[in-house]
Formats: sequence, structure tokens, C-alpha cells
Amino acid sequence: MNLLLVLIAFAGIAAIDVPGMVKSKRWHDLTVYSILFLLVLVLGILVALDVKVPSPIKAIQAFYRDILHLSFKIS
Amino acid sequence: MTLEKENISSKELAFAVFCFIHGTVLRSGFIISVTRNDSWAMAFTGLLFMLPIVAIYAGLLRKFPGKSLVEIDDIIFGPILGKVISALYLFFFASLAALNTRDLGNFVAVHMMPETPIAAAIAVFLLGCVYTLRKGIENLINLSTLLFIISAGALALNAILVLKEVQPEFLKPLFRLEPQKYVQATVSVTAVPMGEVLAFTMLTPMLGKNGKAAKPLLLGLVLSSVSMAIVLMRDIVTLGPLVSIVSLPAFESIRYVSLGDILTRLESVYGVILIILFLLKVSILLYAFVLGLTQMLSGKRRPLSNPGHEGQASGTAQSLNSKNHPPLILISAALVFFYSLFVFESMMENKNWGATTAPFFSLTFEFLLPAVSLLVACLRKLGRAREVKA
Repeated sequence: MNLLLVLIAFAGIAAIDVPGMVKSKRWHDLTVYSILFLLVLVLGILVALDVKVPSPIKAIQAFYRDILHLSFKIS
Repeated sequence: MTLEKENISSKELAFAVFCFIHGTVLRSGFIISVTRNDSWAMAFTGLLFMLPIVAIYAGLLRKFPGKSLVEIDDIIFGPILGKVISALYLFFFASLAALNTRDLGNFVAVHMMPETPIAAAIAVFLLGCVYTLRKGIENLINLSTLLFIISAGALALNAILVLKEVQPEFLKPLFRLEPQKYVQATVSVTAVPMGEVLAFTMLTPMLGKNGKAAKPLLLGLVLSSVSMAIVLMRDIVTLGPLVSIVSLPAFESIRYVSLGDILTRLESVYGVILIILFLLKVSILLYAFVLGLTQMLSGKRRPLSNPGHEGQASGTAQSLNSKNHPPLILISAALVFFYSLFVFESMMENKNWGATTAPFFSLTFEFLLPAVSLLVACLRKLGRAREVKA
């Protein structure tokens, strides 16, 4: 169900964004857009399928706390 | 998309800065958990620490008038290193947008509509942000004057109505905590709500006149620190020891408001104002991300503007025009949507991040990178002074 909603949403986004670029033959823009679109679509599918996507914020937290030793202590 | 020829006034920018920060101020729990009944004073110490940071932003914007942060990086560090640094800024803006969106989702799911899935609340909220951006960021900034009046009016009204519940002795004992607690809270106030005004360096090219960004930024910050002190003091004298236990002190203290049996349950008004302020904040962060991404992908550098030249104001805004560049607002909002869903697994993780690491992470982008940029620009003698000589 979640996957279907994600696919419908992305179809809607493409339907809004792509025709303008195709109509005015902006192929470079379309290429850039397509790469971003595919990356976000893959992310969306992973989230919809409940695949555990690692949060960059947690990696940053570990980097600042354990490597740079820049972290406040909780009282 | 109607994002062309956008201009904003200094006054509107100042009010936008106030509204941008006030949304976070209304969730003051992260400061109160550290400095408890002395937290109100941190609004002023945080402002003092913010002054040199604003001076750095003002220095960069004065050297490169009419340029956004991404364009400035390109000029200072060159096309390759400049893009790497710009990508870091974009990651920061996207992360802030995702974290604030998640906070909004948590607020709605816990306090307002407990049976609504958080993803649904976030999706509707981000659709609102997309609608706002497609109508033009200028309109949102224009609205900030009205939003300022509403939120400042609501703050004053709440403070007056809650007066009969106030117990001033809750402010005592004054300043008895260990000094490092005050340092921690000051750094947190500087980095988390105040330093996030870095996003406005993507909007300042929309100001009609060059080199006038510092004044509105500063005015917005002063107004915010006064409102922050009022909010924190109201919460402390109303809730007493409870203030460091509840998750949203402002929300809980407004619950005390009761005028006869007529004016009660004002926390719903607080909820509506908080959502509107979040909409403004996330829209500005999303705009900063989309504009930066568009400028990075376009790779074209606009010439430095001459002082007093008005036409440049529309330049940065025009680069979001879908007739010239790929339309990135919807796909960026989708990215923020999914990012906000997996950024934290629980509210405890979110609180832990905010209390321990977020200030250092934020200061890297809000202070360290801009300071290095300004230093390199000065050493390489880049910017307006050199252009005038040439």
C-alpha cells in the first residue's frame, strides 16, 4: 500500500515537472532532473518497503561525539 | 512558477527572521532542561555570542553584494572546492528542513491529532511549503509582517492572561548552577535557533540595496531574543519545577489561561501559530536548498554587482525560474519528506541529538565555514574592494 502511494506520488511529480522540459527541449535539465528524481524515488521505495535506511544525522552524531569529542553531556 | 523579480524590504526581512526563530523559541524545552529557572537570561547571552557571527555574514555579503552563499563559495574557493563546500551547506539546509519537519510531525501527532499518522501530517505540511514556494518566496516574506503582529500579539495576550497563575519565587535561586551549564545553554541558543538565520544569506540578494543585510538580521535577532526571554520567563514562573519535566513548556503554560469559563483551551491557538511559523521556517530552508542546488547545477557565475545597482536583486531569484533550470521544488520536498521519516527513530533520539551534538554540528556551518570563507576572501583580496580598484 505504501509502495503504491509512493509510486502514485512520484508519477504525479513527474507529470507536473517533466512536460515543460520536454516541450522546450531542455534535455540537459531533463537529464539532471532525472538523476535526482531516480535517487529520491529509490529512497522513497526503501522507506515504503520498511527497509532500515541509515540516518546521516546519527553518523554525524557519532563522528562529533566519538572522533572529535565535541558533545555536551546530558545532566 | 512566479519567482521572478522578487524584492523584499529590510523591515520584512527583520520580521521574517523573528518569525523564523520564534517557531523554535516556542519549543523552549531544550534550553530549560539545561539551565532551568535561569534559562530566560540565556536569550541575551545567546544574542551576544551571535553578534560576531552576524558580523561575519555581513562581511561576506558586503564583499560580494547580490550574491548568495553558494555563489560566494564559488568565487572564493573556485569551481571545484567551492561546489564541495556549497554541497555541505545544502546538506545542512536539507537536514534542518528535515529535522524541523519531523518536529512539526511529532507535535501534530502527539498534541493535536494523535490518531493521524505522522507521515500524513508531514505530507500535508510539505505540500503547504511547496504551494508557498511555487507562489513565490517574496509573498511569504511579505506576510511575515502580519505573522509578526499575530505571534507577538498572541505572546503578549498569553503573558497577560496567565498573570494570575504567576509565582515569581519560581525564579529563585538565581544563577546558582555550575558555569558550564550556562556556557552549554548559551552555545545551544546561539547555534540552534539563532544561528539558523544562515539560511537568510540565500535570500539577502533579494534585498533592493547592497550591504544592508546586517541591520535587518540584527533587528530580527534582537526582537527574537526579547520574545525568547519573555516566553522562557513566563513558562518558568507559571510552571515552576514542572518546567524542566514537560516536553513543551510553552504549550503547558498556555493551558493555565482561563478567563471565566469563556476564554479557555488557548493552547489550540498556540498550535495553529506554531504550525504557521514552522511553515515559514521550513519554506525558507527548502527555498535555500532548492536555490543553492539550482545555482550549483547551473554552474554559471553572475558578475559582481556594483554598489547601489538595483537590478541585481532579481538575479538570484530568477535562477529558480523553471524556464531556465530544472524544476526542483517538488522533488526536493519529496527528499525532505523521506529524510524526515527516517532521521530519528524516536523522540528520545531527537532530544538527545538536540541536547548534545546539534549545537556543534550547527556551528560548523553557521560559524566555522563562513569565518574561513571570509578569511580566505580577505587573504586573496577578493570581493567588492578589488573590483572598485580594477
